[in-house]
Amino acid sequence: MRYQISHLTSYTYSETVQFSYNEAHLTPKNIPGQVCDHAHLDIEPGVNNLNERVDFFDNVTHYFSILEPHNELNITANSQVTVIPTCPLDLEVSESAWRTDLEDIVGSSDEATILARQFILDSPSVAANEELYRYASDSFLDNRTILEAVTDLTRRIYNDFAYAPQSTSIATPLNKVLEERRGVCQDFAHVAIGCIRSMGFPARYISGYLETSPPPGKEKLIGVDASHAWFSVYSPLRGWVDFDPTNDMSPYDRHITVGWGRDYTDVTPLKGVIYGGGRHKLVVSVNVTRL
Amino acid sequence: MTENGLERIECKEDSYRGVPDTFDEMHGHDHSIRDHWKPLISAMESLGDNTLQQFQTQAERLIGQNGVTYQVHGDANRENRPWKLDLIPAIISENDWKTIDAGLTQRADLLNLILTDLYGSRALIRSGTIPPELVYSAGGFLLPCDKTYSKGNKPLRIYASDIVRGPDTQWWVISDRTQAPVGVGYALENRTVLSRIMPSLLNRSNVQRLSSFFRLLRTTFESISPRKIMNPRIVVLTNGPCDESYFEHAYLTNYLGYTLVKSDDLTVRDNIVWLKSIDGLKQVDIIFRRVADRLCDPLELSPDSISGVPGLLEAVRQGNVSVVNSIGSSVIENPGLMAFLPALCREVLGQDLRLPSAGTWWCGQKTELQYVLDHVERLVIRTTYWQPGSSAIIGMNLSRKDIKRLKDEIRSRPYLYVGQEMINNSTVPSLIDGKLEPRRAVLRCFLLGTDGGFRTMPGGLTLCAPSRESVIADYELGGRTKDTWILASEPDDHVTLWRSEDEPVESESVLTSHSAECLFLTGRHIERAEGLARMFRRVINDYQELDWVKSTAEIGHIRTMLGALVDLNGGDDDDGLLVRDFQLEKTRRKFESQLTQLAYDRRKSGNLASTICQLNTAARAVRERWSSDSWRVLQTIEDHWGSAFSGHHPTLTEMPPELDTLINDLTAFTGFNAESMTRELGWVMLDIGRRFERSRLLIKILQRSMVPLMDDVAEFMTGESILSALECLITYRRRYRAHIRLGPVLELLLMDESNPRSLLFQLDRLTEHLAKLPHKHMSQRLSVEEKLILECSTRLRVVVSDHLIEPDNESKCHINLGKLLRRSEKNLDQAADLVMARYFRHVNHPQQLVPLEQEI
Repeated sequence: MRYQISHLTSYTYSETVQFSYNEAHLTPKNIPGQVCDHAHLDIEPGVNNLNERVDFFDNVTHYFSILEPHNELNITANSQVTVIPTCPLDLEVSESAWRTDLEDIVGSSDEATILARQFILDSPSVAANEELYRYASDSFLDNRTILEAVTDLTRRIYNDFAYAPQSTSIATPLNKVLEERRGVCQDFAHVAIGCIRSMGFPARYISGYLETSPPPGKEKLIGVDASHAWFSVYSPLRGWVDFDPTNDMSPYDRHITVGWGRDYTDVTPLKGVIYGGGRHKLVVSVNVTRL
Repeated sequence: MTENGLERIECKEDSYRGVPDTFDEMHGHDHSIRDHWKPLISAMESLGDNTLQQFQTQAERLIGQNGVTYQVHGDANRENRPWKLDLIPAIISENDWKTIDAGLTQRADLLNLILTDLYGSRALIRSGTIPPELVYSAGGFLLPCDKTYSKGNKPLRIYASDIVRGPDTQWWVISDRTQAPVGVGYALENRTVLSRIMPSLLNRSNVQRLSSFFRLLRTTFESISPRKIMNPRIVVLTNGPCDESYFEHAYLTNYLGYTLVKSDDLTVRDNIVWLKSIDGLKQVDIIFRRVADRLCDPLELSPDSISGVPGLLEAVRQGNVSVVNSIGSSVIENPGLMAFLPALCREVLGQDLRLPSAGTWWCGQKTELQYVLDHVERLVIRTTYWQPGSSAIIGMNLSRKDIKRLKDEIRSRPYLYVGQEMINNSTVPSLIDGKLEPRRAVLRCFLLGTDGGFRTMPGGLTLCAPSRESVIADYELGGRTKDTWILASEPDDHVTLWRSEDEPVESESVLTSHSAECLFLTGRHIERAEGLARMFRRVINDYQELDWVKSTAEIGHIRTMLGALVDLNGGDDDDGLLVRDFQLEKTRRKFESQLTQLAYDRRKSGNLASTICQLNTAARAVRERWSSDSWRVLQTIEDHWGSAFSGHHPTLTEMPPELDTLINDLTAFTGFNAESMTRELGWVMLDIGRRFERSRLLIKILQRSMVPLMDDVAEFMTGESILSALECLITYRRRYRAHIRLGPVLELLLMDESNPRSLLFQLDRLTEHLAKLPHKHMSQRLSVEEKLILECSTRLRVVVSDHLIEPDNESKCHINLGKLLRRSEKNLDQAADLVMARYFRHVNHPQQLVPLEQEI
């Protein structure tokens, strides 16, 4: 499946910005099952520098600075991505119960598992705690495998939490989301990650896109008008497996990954330090079409 | 030294009782003095107690005068406390030093390689040698620093290690400092003080000198410049005077000949770091940072703050600037790492660890966690991420309740805690009230990473516990420091920085916009303080003479002078000083106390007290620019006036001698600067500030005192007072040998270009200075501020004093004089504003572009 993605970010400032230094995660990364064929960043006004690198998590990262006075900043990220659908999860395959996996993870000398252990730890926006543990426990029944438990957790979050744009901001603490049972995809992903980490498993945050218009006969997914977010859990047997709690599904071929990290703060689409600017207004639009 | 001498010492030192079961650096078990201490002890013995105490007092005075301070974290008052130096050095024998030196260089090598690996391939984590939780859970590991270290360049250049000696004579490392270790400058200052107080003793004792270490530091820094040029630009990055060790930043900057900057003096353009100086942007090659990792770049490292230089890390990535130590280096300060060092040393270096760390249990492991929980009372508990101001928890000092709370904390986030064995560290003799007493000590050693390997500074900073009973040496808790002597078998060659073998190279001096501003403000405040002090002195003098003759004219005169004084102080007469009746006994007291308050009440803006405060703030921010004499004078002013302000105010009669002293000190400061500052831009800025302020004060005084019409008597009295307050009375008398008349007074104060107190003189100096300032656009034309000054001085040159003193009976004032003064004032104010706008920093404060964007 090939997609054409266009992601527009537009800042309007109440006062002139003299200098602006920015970091962007707007280019889809290459991963098994996904190839970014082409990507381009268009920035208005012109940049002093635009440097591309890969960050700690191998996400494509851009640094740019603007040194001319401006009152508006427009960034258009265009890309073409090929997604090769992964096999749907076969939960019937015999696996050990999650507690056994847990022991494997802690004592493992396997490199992939050692590296995954970083994602058990607290991160800037997601810290394990009692409440998350309690919520997760209902899904982590003794006889379940880790993937069964997380599938159940994903479904519960989908059912228990109201999808309510504008009800939260990026600064809303995790426990408030848990308490009020509402939020957006980013909150749901953080809740799931917090739950999984509280149980002792590695979980990471994924930032990306969804196909905007549904293919004939399919439903339109939630979260298509901006960048989307979901999460991934690490199983010693299967490696990293993705789940989308906002749509209660396993990403198949309609999710495009931009990058991943411990939580939102590692893959913020755009952040910056500006001199001047006063108050600012932000407009974001995303369009993902099947080619 | 005679046999008798030695015997006497040993007798006398009977009073020195060591702490039981503890190694004493000076005393052996049999109470004999160890060989390497004998020369010092006998020399001190021959000095006698009194001399020793005098030396100590002298040392304290030197430290006070040099402004050596260290702020204590969490100190509510945030005052600069004088640095505490104990005169008796700690002495390390040559043999001990060999062990320490070999151990520390190996450790530095090891830490440097671990650091390189952690921000590179992370083989040590992949192989399981370092548990990922140990590194990733602590705040020290900064993901954005991944792969920012360039090959061949050591990320660790300056390393400090705190070591102690246990009862079995073994040395142990108790902590590693790798970000921007504090102390190397203080160690140097301690040595400088000691060599001034007891030079011959230091020379006789074969003490290894420190200067070669700093020479090596300079050549090493120059070698790591990304631009391969003769004179790379090196800046010392500081948080400014609010930093607890700001003294050290300024001291090292001066000693090494670098430029002291704050983060907003720097800017990143074209992936290059630039220094904002008053003549444009200058490329920076090396940043010797004295700020924490997280405060280096707000874009990538501290999403919730704005301190630092946005884009700095990217400039590092692009290879355009070297930062010492590399950003992210705090990751190896993690004390949990100590538990893994023996294994790491074998894996990385193929050697056994030479100098052991104090026993360390990282709670991220089950068995270790249990051990720590079972033994909290006997351990020192540290967190895996050290932040300035956080100190270790001493288990044995905790109450039962605290222990329970601590254990709960450890259980909930075990990765973040480390238990460390409490070493029964050795004692050193300290001079307490003229007697030697044992105090537990920690030695901080400093190492420099050169391309030929690590080199240990032959000396260090010894920190002593505050009391005999105290088990921990912590400066913040009131401990004292010592110079540390490493003995050499051969006398050391005297090499200092200025006698280095390198060819002297003239480095271009850079004036940052920030420094320019501080110098300008220092100039203004110094002039203002002096002007206010002189005016006060004169007003008090006139007022006190009033008792003898009570004429209406005289009272009118006093009121005029008071009016001028209030104007100088900012013009607000909230207390009603000008309308208060000071002739009656009962209101007089009130009047006098209000007059003193006008000088001393720091809450009043623009008065003498607050001006001195501002002077100190401005001068402190450019600490590195003052000669030691200038600094000493500033320190005296602060000491004296600082305490005067916090206590009760002196009475009116006590004021004149205080003002005399203040005027002396202020003039001395100006004089020292005039005689020691090179006539470069720094001086120009300082003097521009002074000239602007002097002009402004003069105009203010004349506006109040000379513009209104007066009768002859008042004209005489006021004229005389003003001339005296402006230090022109003698000149006037000599020149005019006449009764004081308005015309000649104005001639002298306004139009006389040879009188250093006249307005025209100030304008001429400003003209010269402004011409020296770099212009943004090179052109032959005058800048606007130059035109304004020219306009103002031309007006003065063509005016005739008779015209100025023509009375205008309708408005009851010298209307032409009033106009002239008003116009001059306007020209000067505009010119000053232009100078400030053109040369000082006027960047908007940065803000984080909050990522409002939610992923939905």
